[in-house]
Amino acid sequence: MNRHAAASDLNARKALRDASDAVRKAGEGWNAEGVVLPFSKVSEQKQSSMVLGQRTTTETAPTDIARACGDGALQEEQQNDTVADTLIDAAKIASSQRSENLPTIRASFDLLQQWVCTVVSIGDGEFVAIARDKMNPECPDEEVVFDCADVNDADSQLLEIGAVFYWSVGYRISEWGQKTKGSELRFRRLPAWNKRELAAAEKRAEELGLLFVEDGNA
Amino acid sequence: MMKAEIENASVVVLGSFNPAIFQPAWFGAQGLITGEEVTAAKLGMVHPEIAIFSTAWFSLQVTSDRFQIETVTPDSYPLLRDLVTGTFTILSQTPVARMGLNTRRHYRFDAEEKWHAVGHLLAPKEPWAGVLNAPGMRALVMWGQREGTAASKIEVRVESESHGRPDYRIFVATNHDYVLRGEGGTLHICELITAEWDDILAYGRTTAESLLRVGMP
Repeated sequence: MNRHAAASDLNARKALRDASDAVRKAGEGWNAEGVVLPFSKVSEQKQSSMVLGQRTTTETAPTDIARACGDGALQEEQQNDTVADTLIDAAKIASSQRSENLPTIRASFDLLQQWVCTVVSIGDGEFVAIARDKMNPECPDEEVVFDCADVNDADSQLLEIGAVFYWSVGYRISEWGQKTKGSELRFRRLPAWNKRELAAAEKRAEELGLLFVEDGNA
Repeated sequence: MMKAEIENASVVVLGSFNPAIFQPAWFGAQGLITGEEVTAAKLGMVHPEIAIFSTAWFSLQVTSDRFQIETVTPDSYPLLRDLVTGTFTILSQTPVARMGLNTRRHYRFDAEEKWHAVGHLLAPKEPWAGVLNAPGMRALVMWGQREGTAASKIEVRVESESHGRPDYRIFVATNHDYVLRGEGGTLHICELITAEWDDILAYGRTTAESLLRVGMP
């Protein structure tokens, strides 16, 4: 690498580092004074607001003209005149870049009803599950028969007795606003047990099993 | 009861992360998302300092000190809980310090008077007499505690938005802030989110309905 290329590479690395830093700061958000704080300072500052609150990429930009509810007059939000203006600018740029970078989820689902179901038996082309109403927990559990064809191909390997899935009924709204009423089964995905965890469980089971043994005899 | 026009839920964890891990392929390899979701995932950026990608039902941003995952499809709320639980079960050695469980609901009002009624209820104008002409509530943040949660602090934020008639909106966001155990922090995440996720979603809905009731039909 010649000297010129090395310098360019160095500059590129620095720019990337700065951009990453700005994105990180944008993610950390603003404290009550409107100043971006690094994580260490944020965690120290007990009064900091919504440190763990969600920040979205669709919020109204600070410079948007906004109107206040409760008879407030039209007003333009003033940017905080703080010593952190440079950081603020960097974070805004990074945030706007993030908005462009982060693909937004446009489709939505208008949920009407949802059940948590547990598979209790599997037959020829169908299976039976106990459905618990998630939106009205006081409703009694119901036994429901499902067609195996209702299960997504990607989830079919998860179909077994004891498997948990979520049965949702509602309107799926496409990114173009098209509404389609339907139901969907999504199986619960949890990490598989590894060998070490299985060995530990077996050992624990043996230990517990000894509690049922009297005088060396079960 | 008025229905939220948009709603979402998110989980934020502060700690020390390796963003480069958080790629769709990794989640697929762990069995946490499907192969189709891996293939269809939209990559924003994957870099040692930051990872951003989204699928049809969640979006994820991870920096070296912050993990944030959210979904805007309510049918995916239990899936989000499972995904976070699965992720931190696998990454059990990750140092984590705090967690936020968040909800956010946007409501659109059909009448300006109803929208103002909410502002008048939550932020009475009498104390502002002589301070501001035509004062209006732009944003209100309250914090406190409540029974039945291990959260150290709960924050509720109400903000008004209007981009001109007839588009009068208010959003209500809730944030439950948890301080995680020093040892076994990731297990603590799994315990907390398993125990409290449904309650927090219900709290987000009832809080919004309670605060905005004067503006609801």
